[in-house]
Amino acid sequence: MTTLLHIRGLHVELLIDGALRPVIHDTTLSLDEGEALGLVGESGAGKSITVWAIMRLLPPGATVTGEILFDGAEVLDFDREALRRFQASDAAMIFQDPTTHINPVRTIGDFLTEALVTNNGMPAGEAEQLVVGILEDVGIGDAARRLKQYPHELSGGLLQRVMIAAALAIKPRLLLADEPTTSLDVTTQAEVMAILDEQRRQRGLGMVFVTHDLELAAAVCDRIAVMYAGFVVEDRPADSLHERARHPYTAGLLASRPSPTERARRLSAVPGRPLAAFEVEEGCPFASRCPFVEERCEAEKPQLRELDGGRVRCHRAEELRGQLTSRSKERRMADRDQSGVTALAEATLPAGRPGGDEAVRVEGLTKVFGGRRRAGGTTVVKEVSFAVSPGGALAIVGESGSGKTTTARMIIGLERPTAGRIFVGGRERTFGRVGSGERRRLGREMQIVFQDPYSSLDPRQRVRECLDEMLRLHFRLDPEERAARILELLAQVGLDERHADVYPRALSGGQQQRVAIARALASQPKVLILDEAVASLDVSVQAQVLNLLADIREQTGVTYLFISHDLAVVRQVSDDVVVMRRGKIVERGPTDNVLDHPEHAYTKALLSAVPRRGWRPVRSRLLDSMSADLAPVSREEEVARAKEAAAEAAEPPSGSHPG
Amino acid sequence: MATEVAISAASDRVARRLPRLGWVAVVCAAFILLLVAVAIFAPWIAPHDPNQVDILAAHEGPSAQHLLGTDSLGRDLLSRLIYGARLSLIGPALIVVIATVVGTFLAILSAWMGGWVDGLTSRVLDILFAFPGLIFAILAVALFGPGLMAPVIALSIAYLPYDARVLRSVALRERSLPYIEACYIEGLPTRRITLGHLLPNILPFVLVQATLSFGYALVDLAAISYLGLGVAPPTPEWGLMVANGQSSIISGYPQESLFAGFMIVATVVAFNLLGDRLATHFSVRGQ
Repeated sequence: MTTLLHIRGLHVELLIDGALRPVIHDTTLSLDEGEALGLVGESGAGKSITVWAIMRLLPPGATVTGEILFDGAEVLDFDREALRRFQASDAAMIFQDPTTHINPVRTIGDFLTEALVTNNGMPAGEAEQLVVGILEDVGIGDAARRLKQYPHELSGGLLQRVMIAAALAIKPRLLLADEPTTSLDVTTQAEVMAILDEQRRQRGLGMVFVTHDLELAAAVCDRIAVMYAGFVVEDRPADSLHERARHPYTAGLLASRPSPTERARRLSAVPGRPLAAFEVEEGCPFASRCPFVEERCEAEKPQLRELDGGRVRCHRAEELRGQLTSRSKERRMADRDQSGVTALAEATLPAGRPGGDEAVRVEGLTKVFGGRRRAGGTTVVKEVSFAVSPGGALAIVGESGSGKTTTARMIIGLERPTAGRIFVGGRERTFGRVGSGERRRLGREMQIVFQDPYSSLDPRQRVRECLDEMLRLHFRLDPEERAARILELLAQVGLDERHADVYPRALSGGQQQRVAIARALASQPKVLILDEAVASLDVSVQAQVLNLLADIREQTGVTYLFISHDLAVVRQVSDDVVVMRRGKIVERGPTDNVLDHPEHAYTKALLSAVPRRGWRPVRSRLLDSMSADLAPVSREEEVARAKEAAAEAAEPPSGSHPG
Repeated sequence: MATEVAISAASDRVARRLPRLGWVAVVCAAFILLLVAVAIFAPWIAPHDPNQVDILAAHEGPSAQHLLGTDSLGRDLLSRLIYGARLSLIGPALIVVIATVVGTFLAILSAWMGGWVDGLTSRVLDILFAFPGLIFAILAVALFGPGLMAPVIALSIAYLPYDARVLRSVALRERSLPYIEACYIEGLPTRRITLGHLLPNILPFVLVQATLSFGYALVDLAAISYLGLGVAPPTPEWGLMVANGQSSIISGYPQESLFAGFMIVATVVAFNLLGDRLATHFSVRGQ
């Protein structure tokens, strides 16, 4: 095989807060013709920057040293014309968010043919023919009609396929995909990845695939390079990654991610938070979080060196060989042990049985947005009923538009149900103008933790002030008692006094989420709603917070209502699960039962779409039709589908709802 | 420890925030502060009594005695500019304070209550939008007689919808953030949520809006004085000085109109640039 791309000693500095700071240190990577390389890492690892550097898309003021050789030619030395040729026909980029990279006022056809016509001088008719063919390759059947549509008429998954088609249309030799499926639902992700993978192989393209999801990368790439704080710390063939991870960080990443197929007693979380490249000082970048750290690691920077068929940047890689694998084996043993126990315990704990002593019970909950009169409006939640017993943990799982978040918002009182009843601690919840006294009473019953930790904290309030305010609101305590309670709360979420007197922006995302949890716990609620509370966290931090949630539940006996799209996370935290699709519950039961033996086709589809060890993205007919179902493509189609659904006698129409 | 690194890196980021406004904003702010100081300490700074008439010394050019020369009645121009800063700045300041305080109140009320309250305030503001500020002020003068207060109140009302509408959208956006929802769920009293959490977080935008309005208010008030509908002569005021000096321009003595006009332009530019930089600064931070 010939080398397509060779990066040697790449060092990048960017202007951050007015100063040039390193974002990539000494990175050496190579990619053969037709090979796929996964660049994996958490936030701040420098994986996207590497791709931007290859494409010469770094912001002005960036300094780049080292070599980027494409087919033997130095990309960094390209003049305007050579760079234009490189960007227009040799390398193509696929971005994370298709909606911001496709001009909203031009049609899909314009978008796809523009580069061909202006750059390659192709006649418009020929370009259109070519594009129709490629759209069919990426699974967009009615191509001729799609070309006339505008971006807003297409769903996110379809748009991402259009973006892939645009990348393929210029017949590049190198594909650069920067988190192409991160903003998509898991089933859509599997679709898009299957298409990308298949097309790349058929065309023999080299690909650099940037993602935070190690399992996803392992499934579609030949080789994986793990990045941490601007360094490549390990580089190894994807198929031997699990057995032969030689860097403690790689092993940590693999162990941090919960599995959808088995429940771990505790996730083996990497402590601390991912460092940014410019925070790295002397020694090994990972030293501050490494469980195997020794003196040498803090003094001397390890070099990337060959080991066991890959490359690794660790002083102790040889000695740790046995220990890294045995640790994960140990974990697996423990898991098996644990899942047996929980399955037994849950057999005696039926979900949703009516009774007076439930922590939360909803009956026939329905929400219609818009359309005050009889007709119109979108039914987002339709006759949903379930119950959670005190101390239980119920997960509501579903993709975007399934109505799971709206359900949670109705229970907590942020949305008013169109129909149905909600009982909290045996008392029916009222809606409309709720006075602050009643809100305060409910606040002691039930609290919520939101997805985005930063915006759920007042940026102008120090952590201590925030907790103090809630304590003053709910309890009669004197200042010393409150101060002591604040420290208690912080300790409960794994923080301490040092974190009390700072503003939220001085904390990392994981720490902010811990503060949000502490605030929710301040009133000692009986029920805690977690609305995608770990979805925006880095994998290693997510594992810490999941462990923390398990601890809190054990200590306080609080009831969890866990809203999530992530089946692996759901498996980890919940006893019972409710699967929602388009506003309706399609399946329910004890979590292990449902996830081990799913009955509804949708649950099966969801489960099979989660990347895990040995997984491959597959295009399924079922998913194809379902994802099309979930994403209305045009107004008339939507109307047609509604009529069709109405014809199904018992089933009145229920539209889908974005977000 | 990693956490300590995080905390220290972030706090020095905060410390470096202010100078990062850029030198343009710093220069403008310094100029404005200087003007305010001059206005306050006018009696100690001004070399002459601004109203001291000396017909023999009329239309003198700059000299050691009169640094900027004299006007048609031989009054010291520098002293008149210095004293003029008082009325010229206090008028717009009053307008801005009234318009932004009431505007912020209406904005928060609309954003928080929503529904018919929001609908009603928005429609009332739409009606106010229909009145051009200057004509509104002239009408007020016609009704209540000239002076400072009539145009100030009229312009405050005229500026209200601009401030209220911009701030309403800011407050609406802020209101929908989870931290406000969290306060609501905890059971904090409405007053505490709106004044203790919502208000402090829209305050930067209130500041921007006030700064930008100041420039417009100054021009409008100067125009009213120029038309002879504001404060009466011989009170020193920049707009009035432009009008007063106009007759002398033909005789070849443009300095009074020129200097007063320059002060108006410089002050307005300083306020607008500062407001513009503040807006950029806060919107970047907001992302």
